Amino acid sequence: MMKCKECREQLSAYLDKELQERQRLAFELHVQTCQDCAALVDSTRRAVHALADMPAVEPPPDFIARLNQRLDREDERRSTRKSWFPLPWSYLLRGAATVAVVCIAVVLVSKFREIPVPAGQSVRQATAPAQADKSQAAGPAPAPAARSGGAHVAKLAAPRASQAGVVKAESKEIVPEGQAAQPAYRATETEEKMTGAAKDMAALSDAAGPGDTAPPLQKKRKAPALPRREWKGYSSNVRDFATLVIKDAPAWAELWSRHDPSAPVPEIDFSRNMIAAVFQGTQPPRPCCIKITGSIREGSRLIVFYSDNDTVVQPDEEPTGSFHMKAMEKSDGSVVFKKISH
Amino acid sequence: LSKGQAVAEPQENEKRLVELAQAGDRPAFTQLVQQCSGQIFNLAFRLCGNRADADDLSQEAFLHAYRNLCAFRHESAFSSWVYRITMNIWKNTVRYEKRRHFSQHDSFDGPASAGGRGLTRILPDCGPDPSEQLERAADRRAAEQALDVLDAQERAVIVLSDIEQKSYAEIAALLRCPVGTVRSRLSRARERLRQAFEKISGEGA
Repeated sequence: MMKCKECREQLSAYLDKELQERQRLAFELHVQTCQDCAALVDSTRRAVHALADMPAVEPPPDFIARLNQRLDREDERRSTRKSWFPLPWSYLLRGAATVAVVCIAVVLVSKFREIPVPAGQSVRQATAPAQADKSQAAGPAPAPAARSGGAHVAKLAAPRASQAGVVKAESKEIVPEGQAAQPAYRATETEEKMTGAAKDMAALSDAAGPGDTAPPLQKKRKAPALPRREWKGYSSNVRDFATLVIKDAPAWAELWSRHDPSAPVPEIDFSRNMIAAVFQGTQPPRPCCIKITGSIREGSRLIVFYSDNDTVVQPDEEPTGSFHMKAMEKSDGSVVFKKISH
Repeated sequence: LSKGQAVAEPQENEKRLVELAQAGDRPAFTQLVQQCSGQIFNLAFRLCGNRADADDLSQEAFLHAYRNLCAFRHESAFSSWVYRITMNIWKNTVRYEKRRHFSQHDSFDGPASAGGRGLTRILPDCGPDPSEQLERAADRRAAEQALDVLDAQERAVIVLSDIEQKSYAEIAALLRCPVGTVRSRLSRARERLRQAFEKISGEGA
């Protein structure tokens, strides 16, 4: 025998003829013997029928006319946009970015070509900074060959991606104070034009003092190996999620030994640099890719942005915890990590 | 003309109009709007509860359809497509603007009145009796007011089921929720509608 509670629960389905035959018979039997439920059914049915009985409403007489006016405005907006610039905004932005990159490249190349090579300057001296990069933390003492003014030609040998960094290193450490204002080249101008990323690289390359040996002439355009400035991957021994800032060598060594004990600790000049690191950890165990996406400075505070998405870039490698460690210009203020959600 | 041809002809006509409109023929689009403006305005009116908001909603739906006409692939009737657009715009409006109609609810804790009506009582379809016509008109007014008491989700499911006469599956597709959710939501909504209807009918009597 159906109870009132069940009857109320099945009322809506009964009105829509959604009950099975057996349920329907039980429902109707209950309603015939229960006045309260019968009243409920009747009242609900009345309300539902009243709704179905509602007359249709007509749209306002000027509905189409007003809509046409709006469509006219829409057409005008479209035609204005097309006549001014027929392509979508994204094309405009891409084009502008391409033009800007080309202009910068042209300016840089023309500037470097104009730089005179001092008479009697040996290639060995000129390319000294390239060798210097191999000894990353060799200390601030510059080699005598570099001191003699090889900085200008060294720019010819600078790598495409790291020209600014090498230039900065030279301007600060290789050119003696007395020659800093030589008319042939003003390093500070180039420095001002450097992007934030280039400054990061420059700061790193500052750690590399000039070396004693230089590569042969035919290799002068080959990019010297810059110190590595970031480490990322999908397998770290750091098992817990962490966002870290490393500002000294002992802490760096400790972190690296936890991260990958089998690999040697990369050398970083912590007088100029620091390391921002994010580790996904293995909890929750899911394939993902954590990475540092950028940083901005707010007063004395540095905000490091990182993202954590669920895409596996290397599907053949079983993810055991993605990580990203990045060297950046040292900040004396506080460092805050902010997650960017996509 | 055979029956199949009679059905196919309006569909072909609509398809031709849509293609013309997609090619930039404004009169063709206006003709499409004229064919379904009543249906869309009615849906908007039942969802919004007043003509001004219904006018805004239906105009916005047609404008959206015009902007995105190239995305229409003839997988459904044009009116069904605009119908879905209307529902989506309304859902977004409800989600972000907290419609005033649904922000405050009266309480209907009073006991359900027995009313003394039997199970088999069914309202006459179109009885000529003036008293019955008056009663039906009163019921319609009460039901319309009761509809305003429901929240957005309840209102949507009642409008689609009891006014627009959509099936559970169609409602589920329009509201993007499982059929089971439609069933339970409709049950709750009808219970609240009944309570409001009884209260308003009792006050009016």
